[in-house]
Amino acid sequence: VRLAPVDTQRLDLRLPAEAKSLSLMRQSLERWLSAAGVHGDDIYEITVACGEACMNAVEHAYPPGDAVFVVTGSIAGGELELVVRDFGFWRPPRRDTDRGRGIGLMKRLMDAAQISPGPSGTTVRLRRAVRQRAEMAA
Amino acid sequence: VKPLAQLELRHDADVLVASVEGEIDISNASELEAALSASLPNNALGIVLDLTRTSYIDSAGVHFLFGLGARLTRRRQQLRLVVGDGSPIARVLKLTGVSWTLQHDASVQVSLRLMRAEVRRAPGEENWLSAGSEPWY
Repeated sequence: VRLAPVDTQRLDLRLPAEAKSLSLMRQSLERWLSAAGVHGDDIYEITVACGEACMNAVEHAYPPGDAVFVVTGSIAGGELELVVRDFGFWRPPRRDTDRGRGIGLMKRLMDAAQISPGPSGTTVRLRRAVRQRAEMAA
Repeated sequence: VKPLAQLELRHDADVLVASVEGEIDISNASELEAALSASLPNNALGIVLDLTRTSYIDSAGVHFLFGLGARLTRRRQQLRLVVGDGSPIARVLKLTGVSWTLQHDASVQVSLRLMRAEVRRAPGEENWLSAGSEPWY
């Protein structure tokens, strides 16, 4: 579990696929976005969107127990890209947790949200233009 | 590990006032629901859920709010949320339809007043429901 990314250009997290990893992810992502000079309101919305993508990863985890998910991020030229990958099977959103709502939220909070289920896992790619403090912009 | 959220419960006469300080996500939403359900008397008018100090909510938390609201409605009780204007979670509540589906007010005082004005009980109605603090779902 890597918690304190020092490189402000890239984020790279690998977390156990379990519900309590989500708050760790949020802390790390917020810290990274803040170090990159991203505006506070943007940080909040990006964190919610990424949280939804990671919740998908946690729910897809198979076999439960020792699975992980990976979050990578980069910012260049005012464009943020986050990629959330899990290594489980795609399953339709579970009724009891209303995941359809989470996917809608992800799409509304980002400029683009692309979900690509594959045989060895699912990749969610999130993109959004961000306002950065001038001196931090790459 | 520090818990994500602190739930504070108090009874203001016939209303359960619950305040959540911290974050609501998939890891604690069902716990919150269980704690609230265990604390709501059958003869209460409803729950005022104070989210003023809630700093984060995701779709699992939203699901919990909708579920709680629906269950209270079936029991002829009311759920009112308290969400400050500049609240960080306001945008999520708006995007997911919470703010036009569930009643929400700017302060606990306003919620209490409106709930008492809107939830009317026929005399003796609380006795139709099963007694006391039995499970209410």
